[in-house]
Amino acid sequence: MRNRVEQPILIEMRNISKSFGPVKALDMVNFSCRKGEIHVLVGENGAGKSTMLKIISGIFPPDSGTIHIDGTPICFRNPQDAQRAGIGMVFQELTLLPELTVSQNIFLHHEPLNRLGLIDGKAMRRQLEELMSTYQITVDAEELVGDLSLDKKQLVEILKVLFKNPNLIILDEPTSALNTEEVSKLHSVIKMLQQDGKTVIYISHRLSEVFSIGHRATVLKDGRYVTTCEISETSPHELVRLMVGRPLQNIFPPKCSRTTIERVFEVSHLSVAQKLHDISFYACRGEIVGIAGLQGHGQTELLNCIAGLRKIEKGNISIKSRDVRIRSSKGAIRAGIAFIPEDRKTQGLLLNLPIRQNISLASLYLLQFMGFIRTRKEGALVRHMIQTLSIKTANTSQLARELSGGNQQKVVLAKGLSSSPRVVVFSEPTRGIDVEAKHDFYKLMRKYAEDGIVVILYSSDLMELIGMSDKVIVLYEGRITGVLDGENLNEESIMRCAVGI
Amino acid sequence: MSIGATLSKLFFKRVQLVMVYLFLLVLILISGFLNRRFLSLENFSNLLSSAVPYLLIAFAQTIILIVGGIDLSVGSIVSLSNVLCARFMGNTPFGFIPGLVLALAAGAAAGFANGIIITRGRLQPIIVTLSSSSIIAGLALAILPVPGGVIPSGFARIVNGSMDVPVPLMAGIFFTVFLWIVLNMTKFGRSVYAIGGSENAAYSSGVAIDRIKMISYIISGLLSAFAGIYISSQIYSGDPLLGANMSLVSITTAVLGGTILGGGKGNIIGSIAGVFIFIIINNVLNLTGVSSFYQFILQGSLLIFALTIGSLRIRRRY
Repeated sequence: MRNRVEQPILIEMRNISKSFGPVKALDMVNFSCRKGEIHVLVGENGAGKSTMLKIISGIFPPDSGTIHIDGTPICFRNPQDAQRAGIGMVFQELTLLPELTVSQNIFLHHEPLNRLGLIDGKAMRRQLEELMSTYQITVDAEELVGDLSLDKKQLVEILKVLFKNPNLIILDEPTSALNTEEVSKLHSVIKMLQQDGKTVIYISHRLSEVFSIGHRATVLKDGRYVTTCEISETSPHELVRLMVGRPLQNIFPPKCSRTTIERVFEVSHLSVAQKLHDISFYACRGEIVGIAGLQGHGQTELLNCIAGLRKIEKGNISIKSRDVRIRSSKGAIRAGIAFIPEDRKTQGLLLNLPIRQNISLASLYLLQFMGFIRTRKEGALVRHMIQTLSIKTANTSQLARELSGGNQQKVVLAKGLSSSPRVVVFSEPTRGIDVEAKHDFYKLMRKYAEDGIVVILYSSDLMELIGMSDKVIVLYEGRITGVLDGENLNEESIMRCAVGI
Repeated sequence: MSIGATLSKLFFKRVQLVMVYLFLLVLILISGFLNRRFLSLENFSNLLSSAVPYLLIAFAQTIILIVGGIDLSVGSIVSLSNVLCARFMGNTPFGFIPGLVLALAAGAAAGFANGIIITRGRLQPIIVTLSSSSIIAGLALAILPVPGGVIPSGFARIVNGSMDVPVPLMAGIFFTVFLWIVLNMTKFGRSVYAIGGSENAAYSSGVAIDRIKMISYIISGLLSAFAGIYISSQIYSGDPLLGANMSLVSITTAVLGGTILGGGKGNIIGSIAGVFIFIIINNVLNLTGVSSFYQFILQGSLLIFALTIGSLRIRRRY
């Protein structure tokens, strides 16, 4: 592509903003993509990449701003509008139907019909074969999609888009489930598309991919546009710097000063098929251990294993050098592990019940006598928790749904702490709460750590991880690729481990 | 691929369907062993003609379950259709036509109402059809408060097969073939499975969710109305409480045949087996003189049994 630079602009987004409730996902973002190029979109988790692509493909409209295709402003009301305009999107979360076959999925709603108006199976097979031979992809057309492996599903998803013959193909992290060989296969498909004169927008977390197939890259950060650059004129380190680079604000309490060597919590050789491979780490008394990694590299699975929500296939977990068998969430609580889940509204709280019931739920086994709840003991515990965590509430019978986000999160924390755990696992504890509440929360976390509780913290907010953790474990493709502490603990080093370079 | 391999592949793909039919076969053999009268030609022909309305409501429910809904108004529509026939088929200048038209129109209208409330109101099908079921049952009682009315015997005899033309068999085959084609060979059918499988995935593929759901409920209403008409020809009169138990039966038989609650999976061929399993068990109980009270207990147990089998199968798979 000698004269790629002179190609006209195919799609342009001007001053696009989009909010979800109080969260601003995109803030006056500009983006333009030339005809026939492979344009890579990079940024940290939550930078707004997926939101932007969902706007381009008509899943939801922007709050403000305009989209232009070939210079004319357009407005997509639904995905069909975008499809008609020649835009095909391969989704990150697969949108295939497991109970239908490969060909039924690919042709869904676009089935070729015969003269009687019935679905023409022969034509379907013929078209699919043509399509597969064009892009040198082979999948058994009659297989049920539910029986396929993840990488085959990904290929089917791509075929489903290609079949509609779009001009602009958007791929949202298509390689997160693929191995190296499959990735190179996919890349040759993408290059083939580009040679056919099609335009590709590609999201990837793997910087090596960005440099092997991309022409230009646009960097997003915290929902804002940073810059667009020619891939040939930049370097991986430069891109990482653009993706992170921001000042660390002073909202974090000082870190643990004492150094102990008493290993309170230890995970050894933990494995879960395809998701986690031989994970070993430990936490000392009073330590906050951060877990980092890009979405889908095993962090959720690791947390779920520790919290008893997922079966541990190999390896074990020990607390104070005693092996604990965790088979259920109840088992984890009894073993002294409290889990503060990511989605407080669906996993953490009973929104329509009062605070009192919410806080005592996980420790009823401590509060009961022959199956009856000892209400005075319960009341004392609940009041104690409200006081120590300074939860702002009228009384203990206020409903959980009536509290602010930060206070709701404190109720979830109170529930976890009321069973006197030795380990508290936090997953995205400050998502969607305001800065003031965050600050409160950080202080609490540190206070409990200093009281001797081990804190495991998973967050996609790197600033938070760095500010809070005494050490950070980075996962990449289900393996630990870095244990960072002290001087080594910074955004660049985390990102480098998290993208596997 | 050799013929043997093709056959075995087909067998394993349809293993569940094969199991249902094996179960049906074993049931027939046991029933024949327990009671000689069961295996007579006369009893079989009785079984077939009593199966037809149950087949129709099982098909109706199967389609609705596949699309991810549930229709609890099936039974009430059967009642309404039956009383309309009883009231408006005899003593009219146009013969049986007004009753027939009214019954079908009422079925379609009820289905349309269910569909529009569910899709426009974004409401749960279970609660919408439970409510509409009560309304429709009330209408049936208002039209014909006590059992009675007449069905012209000419019409009845043609429909129920006493005129030497095997109408029940033909009706059974016609509806089976027709609905099989609709579900398996049309865009509509493919969309029904897609919506039940995942509404989001279907939406992003461009399927018109609301319209497909609406049509499904209308089909369900029409099939229920046909069932009511057919039963009218068997009993020669109307009974406003005729369908009281039939919604449950339609769910039981569909689920026995391998259709799952929650959508995306099921087929009418399985439902046929489900209906016959149900009918034969009832038939054997009748022949051996077991009180009908116990038949209710058995129906409920049968549904729970089928649901448990289904849910165990799903759990194994994922």
